[in-house]
Amino acid sequence: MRITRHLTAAALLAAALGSQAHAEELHLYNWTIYIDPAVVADFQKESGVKVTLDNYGTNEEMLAKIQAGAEGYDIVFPSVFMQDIMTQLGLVTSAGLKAIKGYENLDQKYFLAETDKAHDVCMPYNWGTTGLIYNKALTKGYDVNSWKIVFDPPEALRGKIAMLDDIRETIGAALVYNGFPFNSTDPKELAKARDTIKKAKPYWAALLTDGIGDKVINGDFAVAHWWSGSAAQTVSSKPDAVGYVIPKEGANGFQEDMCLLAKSKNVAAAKKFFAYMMRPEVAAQNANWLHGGTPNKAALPMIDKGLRDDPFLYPSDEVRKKLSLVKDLGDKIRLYDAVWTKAKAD
Amino acid sequence: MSRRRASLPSVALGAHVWGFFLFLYLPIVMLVVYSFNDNAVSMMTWNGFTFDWYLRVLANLGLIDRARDLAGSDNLQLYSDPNLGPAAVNSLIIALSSAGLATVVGTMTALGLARCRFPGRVAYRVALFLPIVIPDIVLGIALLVFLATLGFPLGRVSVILSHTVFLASYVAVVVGARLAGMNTQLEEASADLGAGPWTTFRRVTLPQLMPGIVGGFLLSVVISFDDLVIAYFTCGVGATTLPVYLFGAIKRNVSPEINAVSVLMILTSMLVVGAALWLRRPRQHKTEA
Repeated sequence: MRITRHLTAAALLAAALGSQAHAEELHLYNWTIYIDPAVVADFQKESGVKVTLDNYGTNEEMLAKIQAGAEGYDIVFPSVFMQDIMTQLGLVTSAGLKAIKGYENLDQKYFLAETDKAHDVCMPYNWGTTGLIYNKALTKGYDVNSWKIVFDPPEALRGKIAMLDDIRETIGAALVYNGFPFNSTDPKELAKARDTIKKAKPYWAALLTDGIGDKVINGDFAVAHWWSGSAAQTVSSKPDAVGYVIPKEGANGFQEDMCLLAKSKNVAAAKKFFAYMMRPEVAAQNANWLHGGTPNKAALPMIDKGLRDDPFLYPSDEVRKKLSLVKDLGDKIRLYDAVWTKAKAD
Repeated sequence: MSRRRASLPSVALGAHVWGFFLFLYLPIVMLVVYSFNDNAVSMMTWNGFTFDWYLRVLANLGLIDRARDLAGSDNLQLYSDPNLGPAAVNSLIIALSSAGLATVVGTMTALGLARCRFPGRVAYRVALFLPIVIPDIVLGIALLVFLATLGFPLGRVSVILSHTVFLASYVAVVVGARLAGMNTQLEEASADLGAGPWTTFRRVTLPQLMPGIVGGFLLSVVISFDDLVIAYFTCGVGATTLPVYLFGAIKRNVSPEINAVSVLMILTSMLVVGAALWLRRPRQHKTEA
C-alpha cells in the first residue's frame, strides 16, 4: 500500500517535471467562438505546442483583466482601437511580424492601427462591417441600402426596426446618415445625430445586441443593425429569407488583431502560431468558419465562393473607402456618453 | 377543520401565489421546452421535438461519439465548439474543490466562534458576513488586484481559493446555525464519562453537526458552480468556467445547445439542493429533550 503510494507520487512528480522541461505551451485569450477549433487542433498536432484557449466577451473586459495584472496569457485578439490603447499602456509588445515567414501574405490595405503602420506589431486577424440585416419578404419594395430605412422608416416598417445597443455603433450610424464622420467629436454634429436618434427611436422595436438573427428570420424585425460575420452566418442558413447590406452612406468597419502580450513567457511558441496563422490555407479555413473577412491576400482564392462574391462581405475598394474604424476618442467619449444617455432616456 | 366557501381574500391569496410561481418558473419552463426544439435557425419557433441538442452537449463533453447528422450540423460555427467540454469540467473541479476547502475552513470557524472565548469575537462574527454581503463585483475586483499584487498565477487554483474565501462564510453560517441549536449537555456528559476532547468531538459533536456540514458543502457547490462574476475576474489560463463561457457565447450567436446546457445545469443544481434539503430534514424519531 505504502509502496504504491510512493510510486504514484514519484510518477506524478516525474510527469510534472517532465512536462515543465519539454512541452512548449501557448495560452490564447480570445473572444468566445472566434477561432475555428480545428485550426487550433491542427496547430497543436503539427507543432507539438500545447495550446489553451480562454474567452472574453468584450474588449473592455479583456483590457480590465490584463490591466489588473492577469498573467499567463500569450496572445490576445483586441479590436484595432483597443490595440492602440494596449500598446500605449505597454501591455502589448511587437511580435516582429516582418521577420516572420508569411508576412508577405498580409494585405496592407486592411485597417491599420495608429501605433502600427505596417502590421508589424499585431497581425490583422478578421475584419467585417456593421450594416443592416433585413427580412426580404417584409422589406420588399423598400430601399434597404440606406440608413434612411432605420432613421426615417416608411410607415409599414415602423416598430420593426432594431438597432445595436452600442454607443459608438448607433451614434456613429446616425452621424454617417447625416453626412458627418463616423468618429466626429464636433458637438454640433453630435447634437444633430442625437436629434436623429430621438426622432427615430419611437419607430424602433428594440436596442439590443443578441438574438437578432432569429428575430429577423421570423419577422419580428424587418431591418436590424448588425455585425457582418453574425449576419453572414444567418444569411447562409436562410439565403432566401434574409440579406445583409452595407448602407450606401458608409458604415463602421471593424477588425480584430492578433497581438503578443508584453508579459508573454512563451514568445517562441507564439511566433510559431503567428507564422501558422499567416499561412494562406489556414487563414482561409478560419475565415470560412468565421464567415468573416480575411486580411490575408494569398488566402482569397480559397475563400468560399458564396462569401467572396458577396459585395457586402468583400466590398469593392470604392465601398471600402466609405468604411471607418472606431477610433479611441480619449476624453471626448464623454460627448458620446451625453448624447447616448439623452437619446436613450427620452 | 370544516370546509368553507372560498372567501375573497383567500382567492386573492391563491391567485397571488400562482402568479408568483408562474413569474418565477415560466422562463425556466420555456427554457426546458425550447431545449427540445428541432429548429437550428430560429430558437423560438417551434419546429419539432428533438434530443439532438443534448446529444451535442454530450458529444462536446466527450461522453459520446459525435454523430454526423444531428440538427444544425450544416452550421459548423454554432454547433461544434469543443470548448464547452473543458469549461464544464473546470466548473466541476472548481466547485468541488472550493466547496471542500470552504467546508473545512467554515466548520472550524463556526466551532471556534461557538466554543471559544477570545477578544474581538463579536467583530469576527460580523466580519464573517462581509463576503456574503459585499457585491460580487467588488469582491471579484478586490481579489484580482490582491492576487496580481502577490504575483499569484491566475488559473484554476486562484478561482478555487477565491471561491473558498466567500464560501467559507456561507458554511460557517449554516454550521453555526446548527451549532446554536445543539445541546452542549451531551458534550459535557461525554467529558464526564471520561472521553477526551478529541473523542468527544469525533463521537459526539461531529455526528450531530454532520447534516449542517453536508448542507453547507452542497450549498457551496451550487454557489461556486453558478458564480460568474468572481470566477470571471479570478480565472486565468485554462480555467474558463461554464458560466464565463456561456456569458461570452450569448454575445456571439446563441445556439440552442445553450438551452440544453442550461437545463442540465438547472438539473444538477436541483439534485444538489434536493440532497442538501433531504440531509437537513428534521429526524422524526429524535424529539427535543
